[in-house]
Amino acid sequence: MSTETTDILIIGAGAYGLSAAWWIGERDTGARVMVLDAGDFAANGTGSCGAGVRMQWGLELSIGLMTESIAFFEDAEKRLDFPGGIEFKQEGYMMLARDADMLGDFQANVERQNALGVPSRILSPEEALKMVPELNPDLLVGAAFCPKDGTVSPFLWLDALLRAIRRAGAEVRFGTTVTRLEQKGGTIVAQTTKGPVEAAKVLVCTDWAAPQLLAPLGIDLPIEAMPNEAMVTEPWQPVFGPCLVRIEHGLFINQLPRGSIVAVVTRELPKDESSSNHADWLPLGAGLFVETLPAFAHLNIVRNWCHPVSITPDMQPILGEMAVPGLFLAVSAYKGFMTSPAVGRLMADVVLDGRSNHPALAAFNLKRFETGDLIPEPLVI
Amino acid sequence: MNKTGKIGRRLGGRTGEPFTFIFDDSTIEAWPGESVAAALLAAGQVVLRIAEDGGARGVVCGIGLCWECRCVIDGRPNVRACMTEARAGMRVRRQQGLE
Amino acid sequence: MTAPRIVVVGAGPAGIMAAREAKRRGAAVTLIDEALRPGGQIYRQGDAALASSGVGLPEELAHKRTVLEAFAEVAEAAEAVDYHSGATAYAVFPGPQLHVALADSSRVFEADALILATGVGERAVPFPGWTLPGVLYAGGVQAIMKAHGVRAGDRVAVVGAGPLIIAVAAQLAEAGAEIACVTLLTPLRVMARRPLGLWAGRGVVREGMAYLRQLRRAGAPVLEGWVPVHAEGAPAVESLCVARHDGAGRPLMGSERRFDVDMVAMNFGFTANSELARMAGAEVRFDSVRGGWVPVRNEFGATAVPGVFVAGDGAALRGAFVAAAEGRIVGAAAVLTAGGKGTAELHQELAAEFTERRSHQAFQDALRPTLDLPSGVWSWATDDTVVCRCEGITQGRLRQAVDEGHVTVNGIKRNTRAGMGWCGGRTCLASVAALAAQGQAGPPAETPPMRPRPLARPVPAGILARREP
Repeated sequence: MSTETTDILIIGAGAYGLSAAWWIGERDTGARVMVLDAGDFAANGTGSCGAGVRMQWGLELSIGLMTESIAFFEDAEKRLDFPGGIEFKQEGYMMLARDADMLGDFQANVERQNALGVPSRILSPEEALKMVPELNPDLLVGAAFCPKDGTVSPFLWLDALLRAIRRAGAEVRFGTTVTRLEQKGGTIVAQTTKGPVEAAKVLVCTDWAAPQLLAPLGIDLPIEAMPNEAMVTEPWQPVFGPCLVRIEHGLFINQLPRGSIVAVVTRELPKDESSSNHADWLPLGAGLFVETLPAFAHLNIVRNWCHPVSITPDMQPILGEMAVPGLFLAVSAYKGFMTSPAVGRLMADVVLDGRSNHPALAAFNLKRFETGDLIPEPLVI
Repeated sequence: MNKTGKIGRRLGGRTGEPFTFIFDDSTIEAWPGESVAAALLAAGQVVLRIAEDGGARGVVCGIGLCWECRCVIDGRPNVRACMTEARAGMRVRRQQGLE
Repeated sequence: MTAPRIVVVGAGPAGIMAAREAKRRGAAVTLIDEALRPGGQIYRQGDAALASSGVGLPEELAHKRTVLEAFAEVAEAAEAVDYHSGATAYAVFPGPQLHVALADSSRVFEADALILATGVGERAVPFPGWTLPGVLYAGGVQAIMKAHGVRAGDRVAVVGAGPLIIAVAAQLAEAGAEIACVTLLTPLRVMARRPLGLWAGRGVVREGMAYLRQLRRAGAPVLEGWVPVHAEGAPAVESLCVARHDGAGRPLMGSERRFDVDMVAMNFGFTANSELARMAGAEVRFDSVRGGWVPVRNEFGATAVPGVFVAGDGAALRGAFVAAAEGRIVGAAAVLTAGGKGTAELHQELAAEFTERRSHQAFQDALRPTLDLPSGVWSWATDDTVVCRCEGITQGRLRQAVDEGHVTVNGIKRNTRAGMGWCGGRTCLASVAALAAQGQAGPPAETPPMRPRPLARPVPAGILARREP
């Protein structure tokens, strides 16, 4: 098969891959961009996520990425010329504190967040119940709340990016699997199921699946896949605004603008790349849902799905250029959807210029796992 | 009471006593064993729901698979008329979009 | 040795006969059924208060009695079958284990063998106006007659493909409806190309002829080679326009006829309820006439997944007589397999059932051309026709997705939300698959559906939360 060429090859058409492609186009350098994806539209992590976006993190770096990303989501309809918008429902994240100890931790987080410009605050149980009257009052002694957080449709976000980058001239192909990356002189050749593609620069955005592409090049990545499971109810009239979090259960509940309620429960499971549902999940997920919102016990659950998310030792991303010149990596550590506007921008800079002054790039490098300079994020759900 | 002949759209074979339930502003007669959908169809009421796009919708599959006949029954939205047995005094309402 | 645990899903002809056969062979049998009363869709029973609503011809009603007597035998036996009516099987996990929603809780049934006899649902082909109230599936119209003793309209058009159209039209006429018109995509006489097949199904053919005579007596026009063009009315259907088609399913302009109606009954074949089998991991093959994506299995109904069997129309559409015969074969094979025994002896023991199934297969082959849908039918919907009813997605939006390069069913689904609603895509995914095939310039057989996720049917959160130990 004859070899196709491009300037920048992006592997993975999820939120990171498409956002990086969009930002590369924005720089207007004339670089040709090709995006390849093994699946079809929204087939992997982004299409399977809970759709939440939040500023309420524990670390300055995470907060910085999300402040920038939420500002972009607010403006995405215009910036991506996507009439109808991406269903950004910005009505806050409410993290329920089940006891005084947890409320104390939340208080400390809120103070740190406020110092970094995040408008989070502590709610009394009465204030929380006023926002979400259906909430089980026995579950909380208070809550942390940030009104800038919310939910975006992952499908519309990807569609908006996809159309915008195609308008800008990028080539996006689904159903094309990259099986191997090879160094060839100063370029990289991607062997794919539809023939080889040669590029000066390659950006790998396959998240938990990145190790299998990079290992043959001698790059060891401390990334594992962990299955994560979710369910969605039938559409219901929009009744509550904020996303609800019970951090001790890994529970996240979110009513989409369409009216369906999504519930995700993240739990410690053996690390594997399988997307098979677990036989014990529905009683767990539905049980936590009903305990949290008893008035909605009658709502029909229409779908239950499972998909791996990426796990790193400190649950922070891995971003930057690898030891192979021209080879770049962006792995999300289970927050790729929400951080994609900011990470796409900084990855575009790194790919085009070889550097970025964004502090996240310096911090979230691969070397930290050798030097032991881990950056643990305390507020992982 | 035991009716065997056809009465309107009813094929006959009724036992027990007819009763009524409320559908929006109308009173609908039903017989024991009939679903809400069947009683409404027998009464010539075919519009069970107004979809979010403004279009009227009614019974389609009759066996609970398509969910098109969902209406508000005794205050609860998204209840399938074809899978709900009619009961005396029940209050059925046309569903308006998402309720 | 303890009795093998056989779990059967579906109390239609296949499921009931499978349950009885397994019971007779000493198995501990559980029978799960969604309906309140046994019989399945074909032998649907009304409430006892509506007892005399016997819709159908003598041969069909006699078979119905046989099946229901078999049910009575296992339901009333000393160690009766563990029968759960109004129960929704919503997932299968390895084991096999079946997850079931009961009235107030959910329960896991562990099985040595699971027999899926889940039947079929009607296949929709959207056309302009098909979402108007008063436009129903023909099988649904029949179900409402059988179970509730009500005819859904007074002046009716019955449109579609295959023999069900004739039966439903005749039953409606018998029930006192005026039949404005009957249209068939393909003339029934194409069956005559396989005379041996017709002979094999002579009982059914006789019934069909009786129905046709009944329609003729009622003065109903039966238009063969015609298709629906659009239904109109506000707020409910008031008229249906039909036309001759060009051989590929596309209406020939200029040939239209309009009929005033207050109900349209439509049927364009069936889709196998294969979700549970696919969830179990069974391979599927595409057969457009026999149910679309249907499970691959051997002559005893066994899929390649240990302990998972499929019987009846849910495995391949062949009607109630085959389903009942096959139910016995699969019920026996499941017990023998669960006991570690071979099934070869069944060829002799159940020779009549194997013969019944074989001869009816020949009839189904004769029937096939009446049910084949030419590709042109998928162009009936115009851009503003709602195709996915649950999410309100139009044909135009679906076409846009295909034009933008989304040419797989799942890609189109995630791009448009079609198929994400209550019905689980039952209504629209055949249309989406046809569009995807056009986008790929290939047949739909090349885009196998992804392994389905729970839940096979919507189930309330409160019931899922209360799982019995």
